[in-house]
Amino acid sequence: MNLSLLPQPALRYLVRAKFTGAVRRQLRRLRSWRGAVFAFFGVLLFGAWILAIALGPEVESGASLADEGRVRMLLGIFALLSLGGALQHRGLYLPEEEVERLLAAPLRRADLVRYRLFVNGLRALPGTLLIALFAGRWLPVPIWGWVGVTIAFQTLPVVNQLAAILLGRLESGWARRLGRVARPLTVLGAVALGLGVYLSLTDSPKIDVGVTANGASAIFEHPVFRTLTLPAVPYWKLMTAASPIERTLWLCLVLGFWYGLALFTIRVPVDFRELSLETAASVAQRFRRLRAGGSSWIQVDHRRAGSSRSLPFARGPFSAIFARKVLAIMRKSQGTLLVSVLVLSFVVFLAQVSMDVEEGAALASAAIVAGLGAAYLGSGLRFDFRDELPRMESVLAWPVARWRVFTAMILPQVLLVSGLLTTAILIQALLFSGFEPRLLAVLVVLPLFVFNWSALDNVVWLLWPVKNLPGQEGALVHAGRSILMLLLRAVLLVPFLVALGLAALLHVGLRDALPAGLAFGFAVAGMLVAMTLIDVAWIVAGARVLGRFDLSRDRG
Amino acid sequence: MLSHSMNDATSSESTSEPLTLSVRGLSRDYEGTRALEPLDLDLAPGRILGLVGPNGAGKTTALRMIAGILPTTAGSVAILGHDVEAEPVAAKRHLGWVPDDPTPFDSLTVWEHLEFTARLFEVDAWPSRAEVLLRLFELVEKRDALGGELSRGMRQKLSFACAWLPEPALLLLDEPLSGLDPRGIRAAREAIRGWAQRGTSVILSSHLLDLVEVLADEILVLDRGRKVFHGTLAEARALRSGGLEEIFFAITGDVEATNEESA
Repeated sequence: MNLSLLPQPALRYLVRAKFTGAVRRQLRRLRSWRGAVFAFFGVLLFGAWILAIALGPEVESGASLADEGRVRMLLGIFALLSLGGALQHRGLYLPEEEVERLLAAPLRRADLVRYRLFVNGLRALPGTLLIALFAGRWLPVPIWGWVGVTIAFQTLPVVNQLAAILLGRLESGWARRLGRVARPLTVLGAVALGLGVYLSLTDSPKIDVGVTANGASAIFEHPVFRTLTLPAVPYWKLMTAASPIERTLWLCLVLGFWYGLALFTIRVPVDFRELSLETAASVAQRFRRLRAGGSSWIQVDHRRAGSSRSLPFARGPFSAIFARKVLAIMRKSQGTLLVSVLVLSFVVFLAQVSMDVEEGAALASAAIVAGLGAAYLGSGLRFDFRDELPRMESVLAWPVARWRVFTAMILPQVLLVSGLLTTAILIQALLFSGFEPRLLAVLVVLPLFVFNWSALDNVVWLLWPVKNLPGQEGALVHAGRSILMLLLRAVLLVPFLVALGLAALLHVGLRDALPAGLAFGFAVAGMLVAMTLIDVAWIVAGARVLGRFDLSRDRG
Repeated sequence: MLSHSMNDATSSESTSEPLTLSVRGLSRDYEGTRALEPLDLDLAPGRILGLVGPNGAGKTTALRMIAGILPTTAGSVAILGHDVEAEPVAAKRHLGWVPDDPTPFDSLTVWEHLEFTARLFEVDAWPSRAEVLLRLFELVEKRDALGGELSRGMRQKLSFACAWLPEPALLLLDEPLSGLDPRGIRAAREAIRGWAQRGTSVILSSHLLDLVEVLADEILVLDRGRKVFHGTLAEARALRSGGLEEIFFAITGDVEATNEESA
C-alpha cells in the first residue's frame, strides 16, 4: 500500500519541468525593455501590497468569542467557495494538454489523483502563505495563526478534490442539475466573503446593514452557525492553544486530518475519466473564449438568445454595427449585468460610508459613483472593442468610415453604463441623502463623461491590445502593464479635468453677478460644450488609432 | 444494405501469431444514446487498420476506448493479452496515442516532451532514440522551442515522435496527418509503414481516403456507431469496383438509403 502523497516519478518530472518552463518563460519576457519595465512595476505593486500586509496593525493578544466566530465564519466561507468550484468541475480536472496524454499513459488512477493533489497544493501555496501572513497579524499568536491558516488552506484543495470526485460518481440527472447551482453558489460565497471580511475588519460600521458587531456575535453564537463551522474548531484551537502540549495535539490532529483525507481521496474508487475529459474540454473552451477577448468569454445560451431579430433602426452601416452590439449585449449580458449591479451597489455603499452628511455630500457621492462606476463598468462589461479582437481583420475591412466604426462600437456600452449609473445615483440619492436639483447636472454630464472615458479607454486598448487571463503566467508583468495603462488613462483624463476646473471657475466668477441657480446653469452648459468638443476629439483620435491597428502585434 | 464483416477472414490470417489487439463486444452509450454498437476486432502484429467513416461515426470514441481514455459501457479491450480496464498500466505500456489535435505543454521544450514521455513509459537509452525521431520529423532545429511556440504541423510531428519513442506494440493515430505539410505527410507515411514492418500494429483513423488506401492492410468502416465493413481492400473491391473513395460512398450511402427506406 503506497502511503506517499508524492506523485509518481514521471509526474514529478512533469511538475518540475513545468515549473522551470514557467520560470524560463518569465525570463524570456524580461529580455525586452518593455517586459522589464512592466515587471518592475508589477514587482513594485506586489511588494507594496505585501509590505502593507506585513506592516499592518496587529490585534491585541487575548481571544474573544467574536474572534473565534470570525475565524470559523471565514473558513466556512472559503469551504463554501471551494465546494462551488467542485460542483463546477466534477471528476478529476486535468488540463487539456494533459488529459488524453495521461489517461492513455501507463499510470494508475491513484497516480493521477496523487499528482493532481500535489499540483493543487502547490498552486494554492502562494495564496495560502499570503492569506496566512495577513490573517496571522489579526490573530492572538501570529506565528501559530500563520501555521493554522496555512494548514487549513492546504486542506481546502483536498476537500475540493474529494468533493469533485465523489460528485462525479453521481451521474444521475439531479447531479447534473446540481452543477447548475454552482455559479449562484459561488456568487453567494463571494458576497458572503465580502460581508464576512467587512464584519471581520469593522467593529462599528457607519451604516447599519442589519448586522452590527453585536449582531455578528449573535450569529456566531447561533447553534446552526456553530454546527456548520464545527470542522474549523481544531484550526482555531491550534491558533490559540495556551500550552505547547495542547498545541502539539491540535497540530497533530489537523495534519493527520489533512493526510488522512488526501490518502482517502487518492484511493476513492471512482472512475472519473469521462468527467475529466468533459471538464478539460469545457475549461479549455472557456479559456479559448477568454483569450478571444472582451465579452467573448460569455457563452450565449441558444434558448435565451431566441430567434433571429431584425432591429428596425439597423438600416445603414453605422446603425448595423450599433444594432449588432446591442444584440450582443442583450444576449450575453445577463450574468455580467448581475455582477455589475452587485459591484455598483458596493460602490454606492462605499461612496456613502466615506462621506459625512453635510452640504454637497450628495453631489460628491454621485461624482464618486460616476467616476468609479464608469471606470469599473467600462473595463468590466467589455462590450466594446475588447470584444472584437478575433474579428479585427474583418472590422478593418468594413467599407465604413473609421470614425463611424469607432463610435458605433462603443456607443451601446456607453448608453448601458450611463443608464446603470443614472439608476444607481438616483437610488443612492433617494435612499440616503434625498434628491437635490444640482444632481441633475451630474446626470446630464454623465453620458458625455462615460463616452469620454470609454473612448480614451478604447484608444489605449487599440494601441496596446493586451489582456490578462485568470491564472495566466506572467502575472507580475501583466500587473505592471495594467498599472501603467491605468496611469496612462488617468493622464488622458486631463482634458476632462481641465473642463471641470474651467466650469468651476466659471461658476465662481458668475456667482456674484447672477442668481446662484443661473450661475450653476451656465457652468453646466459650459461643461457640456467642453465635454462635447473633447468627445469629438476622442472620436477623431479613435478613428486614427483604429486605422493604425496592427493585426500582427503581440497581444501578450 | 452492405453490411459486411470479414473478421473471420482477417483474423484467420493471424491465428499463428499472438494478437496485438483484441476487442470484444466493445460498445458505448452516451446519455441514453448508443454511440458505438458492439464491436469485435482483432489486430495482428505489423498490421495497419484503416478506420474510416463520416463525422460522428464513432471513430474517435472507439479509439479512445481502446486507449483506455474513455470507460467502456460494455465489452473488453486487450493489448498483448492485458485487459485495458483490469490491467491498465500493463496494457498501456504497449500503447502509443496520437490525438487529432495534439496540445503540447506550453512551457516544455520539444526535448522535454520527449524526456517526459521516456520517463512515463520507462524507456531506457531514450536520448539516442529521441535524436533519431527529431531528425525523422525535422524537429532538430525545434529541439529547444517551447510547446506553445509550435505550429499545428510541428505539434503533430512532436506528437508522433512522443508516441513512437517507447516503440509501442500498438499505435493509435486519430487524424494524424491534418496540419502537416507535404514533406511532413511523406515522412509520417514512411514512418508508419516502417513501424508496421517492425511489428507494430497501427490503427489509422483518417478522412484522407487516399492515404488509408495506400497504407492500410485492412479497413474498418464505421457509420453512426455501427461497423458496416471490415476486411481487406481486395475484399472491399469484390463488393464494388474502384478506389476506396467509391467503396466508402457505396457502403455509407447504402446504409443511408436503407435507413430512409425503413423510416
